[in-house]
Amino acid sequence: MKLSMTLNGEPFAAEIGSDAMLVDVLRLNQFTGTKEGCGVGVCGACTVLVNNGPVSSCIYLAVMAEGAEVWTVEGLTSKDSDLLNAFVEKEGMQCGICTPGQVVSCYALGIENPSANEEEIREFMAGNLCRCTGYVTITESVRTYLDSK
Amino acid sequence: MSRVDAESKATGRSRYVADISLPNMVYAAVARSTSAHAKIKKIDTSVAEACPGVIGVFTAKDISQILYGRNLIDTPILANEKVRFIGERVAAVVANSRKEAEDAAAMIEIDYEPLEAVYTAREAIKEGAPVIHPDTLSYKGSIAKPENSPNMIWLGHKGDKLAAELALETSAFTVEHSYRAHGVHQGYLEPQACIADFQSPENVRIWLTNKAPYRVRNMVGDCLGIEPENIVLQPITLGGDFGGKGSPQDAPLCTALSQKVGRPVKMVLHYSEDLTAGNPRHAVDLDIRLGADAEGNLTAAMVIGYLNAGAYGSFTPSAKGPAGATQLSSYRVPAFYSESNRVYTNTVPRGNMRAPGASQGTFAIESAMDELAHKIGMDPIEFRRKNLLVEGDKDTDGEHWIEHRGHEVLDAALAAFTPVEAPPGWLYGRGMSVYSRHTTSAASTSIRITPVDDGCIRVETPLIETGTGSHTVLRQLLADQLGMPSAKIEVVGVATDELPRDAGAGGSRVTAGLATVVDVAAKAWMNRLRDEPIVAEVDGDSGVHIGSYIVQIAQVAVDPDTGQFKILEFMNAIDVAAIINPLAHQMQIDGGALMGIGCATLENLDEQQGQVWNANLGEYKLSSARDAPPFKTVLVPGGIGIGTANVKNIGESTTPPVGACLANAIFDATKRRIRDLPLTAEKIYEAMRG
Ligand code: FES
Ligand code: FES
Repeated sequence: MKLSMTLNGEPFAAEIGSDAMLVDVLRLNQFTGTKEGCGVGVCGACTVLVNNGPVSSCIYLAVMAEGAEVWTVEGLTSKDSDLLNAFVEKEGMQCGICTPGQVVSCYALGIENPSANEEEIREFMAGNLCRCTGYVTITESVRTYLDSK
Repeated sequence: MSRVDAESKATGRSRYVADISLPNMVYAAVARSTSAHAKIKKIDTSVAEACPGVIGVFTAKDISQILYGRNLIDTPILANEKVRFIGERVAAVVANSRKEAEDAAAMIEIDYEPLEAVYTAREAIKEGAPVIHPDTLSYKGSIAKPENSPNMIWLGHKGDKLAAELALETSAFTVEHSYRAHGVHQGYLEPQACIADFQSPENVRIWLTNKAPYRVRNMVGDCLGIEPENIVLQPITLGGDFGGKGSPQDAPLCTALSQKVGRPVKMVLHYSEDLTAGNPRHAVDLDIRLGADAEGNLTAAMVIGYLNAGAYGSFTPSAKGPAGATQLSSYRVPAFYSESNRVYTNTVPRGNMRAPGASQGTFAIESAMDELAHKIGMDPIEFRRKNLLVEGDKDTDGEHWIEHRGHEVLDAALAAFTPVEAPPGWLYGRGMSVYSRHTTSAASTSIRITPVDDGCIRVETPLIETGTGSHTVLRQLLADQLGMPSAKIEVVGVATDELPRDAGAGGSRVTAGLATVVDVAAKAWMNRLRDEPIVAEVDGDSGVHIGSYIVQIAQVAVDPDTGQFKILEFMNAIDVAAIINPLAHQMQIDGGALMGIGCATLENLDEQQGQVWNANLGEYKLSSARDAPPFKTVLVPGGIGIGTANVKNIGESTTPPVGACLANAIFDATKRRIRDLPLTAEKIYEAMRG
């Protein structure tokens, strides 16, 4: 079947299987910034924005994105330089495999609750696991981004 | 300046193995054993072969049956005649897409004749236990002895058993307890992945989620009969390691398959496969006996470890397995005896994890230290202070170290300590543990510096950036040595045929090794006659062994009604010398401690009858930002580091002492001792009721 959506602000269409997950459609179409970690909706590495809300694209059927506005890490960091700068400046990463998901969730928090305090940041970001950093620099990156808004 | 890879990682531009596609590439998936121990009676691949998109289905008889491994060579590429754990590769499908390969793999029918299985180290070395590897003695790299149990991969000991026993018998105070440090997974978030492109025996390229490319080259070459130099490991971005990505993983299989089908073959694991067929840490049972005299001086220690190595022993650097499991590194012990039993079982093969063995061993020893202090009636802190090694002391291995700064670190930790209040109605507890990690200055790596335009240089390195910031450290060391701004230095990862060597990340010695090669490179660069590339390499041990002490203090609150506990604050006090990259250094401290906390409280590779029951990250829980406690860091500067960069190890320091630190804090709060990890509310509740 055919999927049509807006991806990173541009029209996007692809031939997909009815059981295809959004993460696979993105990755097969060169949008490999979106990562797959756990594959079961708990680690957040595959987070993308669908109609301004963060979703785990590994458990999100691609057909559900029909007509939707989808943003990935590639699109968000190129349209919002403060987002990229916050993670670069505060070094909110080590191995980086979780980073695209962290960046997308950070952007989503900026829409949802730009004045979030430390506890609210950690609560919101709890769906984005990181095995490397211990979360301090990630939380600071999010804080820096929210402050820039 | 930020990390060299910050922007490419934050924009999603960095290429990990799973992100790479080659022209003409096909995909592999495997059928895995559903039996813990069985003879393979029959494999029926006919249905799988007829599935859409399938190019070929392969079993052990179709590919090399030479075993592989890091040092002990005991692991088949595909199970041959017999399976030894649930999750073992039995047959492989190559198909046009990943989904087609996986769908077809599910249609392979394997008939088993079940054999009796054994799941714990203690059981497996009992008389009459089922024999897992009849050929143990004949494996290449084997150090097994005919007089031991056939499941014993290695039985080693240190010290004088009789002397230790005698000293214990005459000690004023003794404790004797068994502890259990369970199996946990490294928990990197990037599943293992491989692409192999076999063009000819002279030309093989591999992309692998691995941190030690030269080692992989040799291992794949050995088991497939290819000259290692003809195998080229390509530079990759690695999505976490923590000791879990040092083995060849599926590279031997993918290379063999690529040779069979004449096309590049890609295989990406699902995380459930990482959990059931990776190389998690050894589960270790420890029997500990400690003795002290009337004044609280340690008199003797006996440490007996039973290490569950799982079905294959090939994933550690030596057949001996992780040495840290039976080490007692921080204290003066006049009579010491340790014994390490590394044993095959019908469970997931085990490998190394951050500070191999030390998390398991330190849990037992630092818990027992607390128990002995209480028995003597001494403050556990004062008891430790009294027994910490000082300059001139030998450790239990008989080694002298350049310095011992345990007392400075202990004092700094106490000086920085401020109590945090527990919520009303909760019990407050404070616990401490100590760990010292010694690192040799062995360095084996190489770099090339090439001048580019505008006075800039390009530095090529085969060192895989595992996430710790090693490429950034390389840039910074060079900037300092060459007196050049970092902005003029570009660091590029290169393939194994570009440079002569790299030992791979590990042993907390990457920064020290880089400092050594940068010294050599800077001299060569300054003395070069023309503006042409220079290559610098180092290979060897400068003989300098340095140590670093860490003292952790945890403050916890325990709900007396439910056994639930929270960590109010977690302090890491660490002995340091120079710090090249403060942010990366801090992340190693925080990340290592949080990993320790996760392993000690949330994570548990829940194996029953050889089956991992929680084989997904929904049930195998890793710590989230919400679970991370407030951290406090106390750096204790002034230590002596390695080389001109004067650095100390950090990457493996903060994980090992966590388990005991928390168990000691929980004891302080509840007067109940938990001797088996993980520390759960349920166990605390049961202990408080009992
Ligand atoms: S990969 Fe989707 S949540 Fe982990
Ligand atoms: S940076 Fe490695 S998992 Fe987050």
